[in-house]
Amino acid sequence: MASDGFRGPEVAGRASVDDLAPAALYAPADEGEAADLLRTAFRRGWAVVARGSGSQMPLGNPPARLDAVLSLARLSGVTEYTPEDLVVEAFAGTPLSDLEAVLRARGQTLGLSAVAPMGTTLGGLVATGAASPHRLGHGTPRDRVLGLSVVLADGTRVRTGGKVVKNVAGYDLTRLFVGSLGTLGVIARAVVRVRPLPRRTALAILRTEAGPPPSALLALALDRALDPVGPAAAELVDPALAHRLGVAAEAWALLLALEGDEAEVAERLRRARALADRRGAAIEVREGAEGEAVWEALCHALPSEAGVQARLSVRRRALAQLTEVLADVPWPEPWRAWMSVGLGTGVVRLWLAAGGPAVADDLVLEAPLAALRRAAQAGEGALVLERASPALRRRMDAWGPARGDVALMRALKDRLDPRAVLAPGRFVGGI
Amino acid sequence: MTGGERVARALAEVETALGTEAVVRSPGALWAYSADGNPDLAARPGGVVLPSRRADVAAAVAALHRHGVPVVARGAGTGLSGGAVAEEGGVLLDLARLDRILAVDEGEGWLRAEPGVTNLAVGRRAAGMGMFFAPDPSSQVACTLGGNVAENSGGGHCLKYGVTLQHVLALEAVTAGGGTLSLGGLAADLPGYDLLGLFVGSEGTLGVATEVTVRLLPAPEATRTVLMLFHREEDASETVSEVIAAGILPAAMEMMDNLAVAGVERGPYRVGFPPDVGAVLLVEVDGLEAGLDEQAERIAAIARRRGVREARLARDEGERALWWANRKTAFGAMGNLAPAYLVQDGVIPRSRLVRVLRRVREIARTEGVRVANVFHAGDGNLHPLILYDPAEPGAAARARRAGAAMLRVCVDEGGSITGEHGVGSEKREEMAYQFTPAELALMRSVRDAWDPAGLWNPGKVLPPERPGPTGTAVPSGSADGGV
Repeated sequence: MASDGFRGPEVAGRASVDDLAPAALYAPADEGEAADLLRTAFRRGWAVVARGSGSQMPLGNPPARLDAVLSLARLSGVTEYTPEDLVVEAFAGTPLSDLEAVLRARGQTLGLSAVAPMGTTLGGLVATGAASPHRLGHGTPRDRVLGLSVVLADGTRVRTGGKVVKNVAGYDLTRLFVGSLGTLGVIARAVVRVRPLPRRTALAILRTEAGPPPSALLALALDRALDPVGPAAAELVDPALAHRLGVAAEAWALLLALEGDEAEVAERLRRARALADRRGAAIEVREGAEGEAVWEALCHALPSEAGVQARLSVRRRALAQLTEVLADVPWPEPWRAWMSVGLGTGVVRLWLAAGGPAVADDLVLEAPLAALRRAAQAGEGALVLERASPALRRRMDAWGPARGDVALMRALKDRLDPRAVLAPGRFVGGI
Repeated sequence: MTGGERVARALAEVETALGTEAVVRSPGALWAYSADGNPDLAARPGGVVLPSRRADVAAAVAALHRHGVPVVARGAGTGLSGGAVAEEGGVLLDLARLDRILAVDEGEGWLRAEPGVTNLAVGRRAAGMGMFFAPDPSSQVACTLGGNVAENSGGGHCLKYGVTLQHVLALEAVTAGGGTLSLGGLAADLPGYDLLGLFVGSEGTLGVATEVTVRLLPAPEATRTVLMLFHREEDASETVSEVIAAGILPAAMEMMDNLAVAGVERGPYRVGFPPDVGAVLLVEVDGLEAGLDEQAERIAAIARRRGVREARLARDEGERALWWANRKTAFGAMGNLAPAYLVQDGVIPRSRLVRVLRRVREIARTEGVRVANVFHAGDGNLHPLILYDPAEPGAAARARRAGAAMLRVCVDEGGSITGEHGVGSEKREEMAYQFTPAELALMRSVRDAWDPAGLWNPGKVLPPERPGPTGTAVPSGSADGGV
């Protein structure tokens, strides 16, 4: 099959997507080659899955078919950076850590990351629309990606959006591709709005006790008492996770990311202390890198240890109840759970790992996860499996039941990818 | 059956369903609905439907679309690109009567309203709870929330807070044929394509919102507004870039050039700017009280290095309000300078400001028109106001040529032909400056997926299709072999 414009496949192992092995792995050197590959694949009806570093490959359903994997690893590097415009453009295969290094040298930051093992690329971030706890202050890729270069299913190259923040010319196709998991096109380059690095950061840790979720802290999701503190992230972590992160011996802990100018952070800290006082919590502050390390562990170390990662999102009015349900789940042995509750976002991350060296079968988790999915739906939200065995994701559907807007999604998919060659079956509603 | 007969039959059905008071058909009355804020793009609609209940919208659209009658939604008609004008005998759906605020949730920080509510009414309700609704177009006294959604409106404060889309959590829409659709929700990250993101800013070509849920933010505790007068426009432009480069993210940075200042100073909100001022720059920072004075001082220091002639801090809310009123009425104030003007809405990367303003002046000189610049400098959103006298032969054509040339410059610099006013009918030809045929074909596919019969605001946003090889879709079932 190495013909028809496919220039020398870089045959490599580990190209499998879930339990499907592709006939070939291709790593185009530039966008033109990527377009050639897709054009050929389209003509032949080959099912193609795009891939960056692979850090988020377990997201979504296993593909229904797989013929070729398109690695974007060689499409790497910054293509344009104008710090005074707060805008950067880079190839999809650029690791976020490389991009961040370029930005930090100029006093700026992307401020976006995935809750996934280290290595996530810009393309991976954009294709999954991944958001971290700092979305509370910094937004998500949907808010921050200004434009894209995309190769469509038939190999046509298009650009969407632009390099400016305000742009209402035509449809916002950028938004359509962000988070579409490679089912509508392959992202080759992205233009992202960056932000100034804060002059000072601090992590405030508010600790209560072990036991049931602390209602005094859960109430913060609704009572607006966090408004004056203005954290960029506000995550309530359970005692097991607090212990794992080294922020508390065995207690619920609220992690507040505080950012800004010197005086501003000092004021935020003063207010966080007053808040801790009023809510009967102890407070500890870790400045700068020491605080950042805790967020790194939460966002990257934990996902690499856990066999299962789920994202639950509900409206904030339903958050306390969901947290109580979560805290009471009797996970089957040998599975252990950690969880982090976004008080300002209504997004909960749940990680599950089997203790001991044996590879555990995660299908035993189906019943409790299904119950949690129902709880999330009762809160007008959803449970998405971001990492689990292919078998469990097939059984449960990684995304859960589709909503009323799925017919329109299918209509868009049919128009943009009429032969269903792009990551078939990986997305919502079988798309 | 002629188009007129189709419209008449459809309207008769709508009258049966909604009542006679919900339909306007007398030719005299219809003229009042023939234009939005841009009188040059007028067209008389075939009829107007004024629903008073949300359910009426779906009923009316079902009847109209059943008869193949195009439907164009309209809020307050303050748009500037002809978006809310029914061309080719289509029927206008006037949403002004749907102006209720339906629910608010202070704890979760949102407000739900019907589309005809004004932007200002939303803002006032939020303010009553110590919160605010960030999008604030200059027309906010009149413009509606539904219009903000259709146009993805901006305003003075999107540099820090983003445009309308960033503040819409959910909406209920009526789609082609009168079907209803819920998009988004109160929970984050609902699985699927971002259809909400596609709908907001689609200028009524995908459907009409009947209920909008917007995010309210905690009101900033404190604000500092700095007004700076410069001898030279270039120095004001450089100050804008340097403030951003210094790591400061102001809530707003608004600029007016000498001619624009001359206009507003003859309007109702006189600040008393000296007539020889090169440019006025209004910068607002907000957030915690702590450190805000330091930020304002850092901005003033940058301006001083750029030779600012005067920089002053708003003494109180009254003075701040006056400065903003002065700025926000700038378009209307152009009437004090010339009998007519064209407004453009190009966007450029901020760092190209000096170069692009120079090009704008050259174009004006070449075409023999005067241009006043009023713009959201922080986002690089330019509003060149091209002044002309329609009585002078050829003047209108020269103004239009100048405007088109200015938009080309914006695109050449990596920007956009419209930042907040929308494409409508005004800039559909200019879409081809910014997008390739393949990109326009992709947009057409998206539109077809939502509205296969093309009955929502037809003719708007996309340029007329020309014969030739466009489109990316290949008929399925013609695969030439498997792997």
